[in-house]
Amino acid sequence: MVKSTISAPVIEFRRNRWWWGIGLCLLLGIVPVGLAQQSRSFVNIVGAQAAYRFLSQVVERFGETTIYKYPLIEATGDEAGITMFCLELAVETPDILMLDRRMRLEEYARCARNGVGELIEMFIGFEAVVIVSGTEMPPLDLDLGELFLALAATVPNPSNPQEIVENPHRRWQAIHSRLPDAPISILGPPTGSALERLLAQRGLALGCQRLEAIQALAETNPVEYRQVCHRLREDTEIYEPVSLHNDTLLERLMENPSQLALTTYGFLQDYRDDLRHVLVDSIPPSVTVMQEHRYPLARPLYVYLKVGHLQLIPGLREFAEELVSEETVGRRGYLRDLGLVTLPPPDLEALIRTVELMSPMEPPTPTTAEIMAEAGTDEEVPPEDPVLTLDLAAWEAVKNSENILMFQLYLEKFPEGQFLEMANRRLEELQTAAAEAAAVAEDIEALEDDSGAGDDG
Amino acid sequence: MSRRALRWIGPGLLLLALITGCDRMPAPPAEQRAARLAADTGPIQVGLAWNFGLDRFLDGAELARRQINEDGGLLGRPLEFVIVDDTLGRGGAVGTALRVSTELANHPRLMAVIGHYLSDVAIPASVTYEDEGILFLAPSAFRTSLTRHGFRYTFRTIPNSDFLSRQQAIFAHGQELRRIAILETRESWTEELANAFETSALNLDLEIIFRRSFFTHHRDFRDIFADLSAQRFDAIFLASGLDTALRIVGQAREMGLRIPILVGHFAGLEAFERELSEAADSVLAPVVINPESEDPRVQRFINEFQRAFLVPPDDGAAQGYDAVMLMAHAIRRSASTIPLTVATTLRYSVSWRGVTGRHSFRRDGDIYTKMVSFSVLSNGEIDYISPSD
Repeated sequence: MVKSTISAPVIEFRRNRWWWGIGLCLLLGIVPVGLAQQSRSFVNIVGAQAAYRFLSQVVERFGETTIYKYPLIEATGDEAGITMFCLELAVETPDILMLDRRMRLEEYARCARNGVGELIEMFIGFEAVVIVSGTEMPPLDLDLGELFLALAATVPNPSNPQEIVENPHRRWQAIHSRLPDAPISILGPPTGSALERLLAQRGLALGCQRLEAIQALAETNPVEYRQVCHRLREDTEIYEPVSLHNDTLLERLMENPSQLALTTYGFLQDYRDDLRHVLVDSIPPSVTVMQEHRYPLARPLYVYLKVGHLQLIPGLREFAEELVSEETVGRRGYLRDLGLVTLPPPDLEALIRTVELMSPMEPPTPTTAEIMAEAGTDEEVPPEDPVLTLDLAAWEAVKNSENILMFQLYLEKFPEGQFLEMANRRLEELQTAAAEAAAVAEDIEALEDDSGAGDDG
Repeated sequence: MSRRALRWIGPGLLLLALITGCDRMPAPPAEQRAARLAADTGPIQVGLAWNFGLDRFLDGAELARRQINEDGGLLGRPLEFVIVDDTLGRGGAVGTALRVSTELANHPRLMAVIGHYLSDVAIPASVTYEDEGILFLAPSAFRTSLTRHGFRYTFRTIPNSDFLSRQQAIFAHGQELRRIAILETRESWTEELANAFETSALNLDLEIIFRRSFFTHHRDFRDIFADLSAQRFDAIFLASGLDTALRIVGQAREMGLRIPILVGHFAGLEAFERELSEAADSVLAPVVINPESEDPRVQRFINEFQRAFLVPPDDGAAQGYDAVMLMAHAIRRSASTIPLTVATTLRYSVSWRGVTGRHSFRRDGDIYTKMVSFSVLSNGEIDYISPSD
């Protein structure tokens, strides 16, 4: 017989054990009801405006052709979208994030740190502006600075570059002597359209960075700098935003051999024989160069999905399958009609396989080109070490845990990690505490056996 | 008898009373109505409760009814309306709600009610419809409490104040309006809008640089704008009734404030243009229908409405049209006119697109898919910006 050392609370518990039992049952009964009320029965998507218009079409079709309700899709922008998506793994947070660039390592680590868990990465294609002309126009190679000088509402005064004036350029040769002796005449995408935004954000903004006179403005007057670098000219005899059917646009180009049009990649592909593309920074528009991040007027479209939500949200897997299907993002897919530059067949097959198997992504490793593009500099920037970043994220996730397994897992994944010593010490503490708790539990069990026999009597 | 046995007598008697008493009670009104409707083969009756003369809501609903009946009706039966004016009368909002909802519920073959312009009327009316087993579609009431009672028959076809304000914050973010001042009247509905906007704005990393409330009888806002002039900000979020909004916009422009002013709720910009002309430039308000949309459904609706009523449709018309069409879709899909069956279809499986956007519902009956557009006054013209632009 074991002598009792903690008799009073245990005996009290024994006396009231039925009430405790009822309380526990009620609690167990209430918690699932609470969870059921919170559960969400539709897919939730957030992220970049550029991707919104494409995914919005998928949402439309998914709602109309499947048994599932429409997904909720919101164009929150990159940053807010990432904040919401990476908040935690919970049904209150979005299931899908859409971006007009690849997720950065720091963002991936933030998701990992918050316990979001594995992610599926779906690269679905590009959004791009191409510059085309009729075949009678001589081949043209514009650098981004020249494109800016042709399209911007205000530019540096040619005779006094420190002064910003209304765009005076009406002929290409006024911009550079190597350019054709012809009037500038450009048909642009419709006002307020996604293509116009891409033109302003990529074409104008990057071109602006090439002009020293304007760069000075960035420091002295950032508000004016932003306006100068994003505003398209409004003199419609030179730059005319148009919303035309493809055939009509082609007719306009045929009628005026010196006219250019800023349009979708799909238009160029469809009328390849009747059109000539303009080189931008000596680079032709093609999927290959876009994949190498070399074509400046294109941006990639990425979609991220939380693996941990697949079991929680009805229709999530099916939505991902619809998104990457041949009918959606294939060469004849309906997103191509909206201007999506589709992936080559082998890449699409790999994407479909990724979604079929729900293969989680590897931590993103920034390429040198990406780093340079992000930094907007020609100087090479050393990439962040992905292992160190992940190690930090993993440690942040486990360091306050009371679970031995979490530390064992950390030590297994990062046997030479930065926090090796601290992890070992914490593991030892938890193991010692667990051993002590086990001993106490044995004492309690023996005591219960002992006092239970007395009650029966 | 032991004390332990005595303890069970009370609950036991209660259980016995429940078991033996239930089948002697008359069936609740909802069940009686469901039984009547299941046997009914006559016209399908739907109630419309609206503030007569307010907007073109009733015309929109009527256009939908005509189209449905011209196409052979619903499940082979014609659709007919019972129309009641719910303009505020004696007894205020609750009295009006009780009067109108009871009047409608007295129609024994009525399966649904669409309407109630004001949340303060729609919320108490929803209690009657829940008791009476009448499907209720609220196309205008945006206060969140309408759907917070776990009612089985209540649905809202307009974004609630949380969802609406969230969309406005996202819009502001997209327009790079990062520093916002909030002005609001001291009313519960405007406070709800302002709170929801502030929460969403902060989640999106927008900055609320100023928030000021004032009584509805306040007439002079120049002191507020004088305080504001010391701050740098990009836009004002304004939660107030139309009269106050007109006054605020006018005085802001008088004092040289030309920044965008986001009106917090669905307020047509025509009144701003009419009253303030150029001073109303850069006033923005959410709208449920974008007349410039290239969606053929929208253009067809606009043309047919104009042909039928000789005026262009407004937001009310579009909401009325869509609410009737949505209900028709759910009836066809359920192959039933029993309100609970149609409500279950709406709650769990509807993905339907109308002229005002996508319709799917949360389990509490709130629509979560309707994305608003924004109307903006520019040089005396109303332009529209949609989230997909």
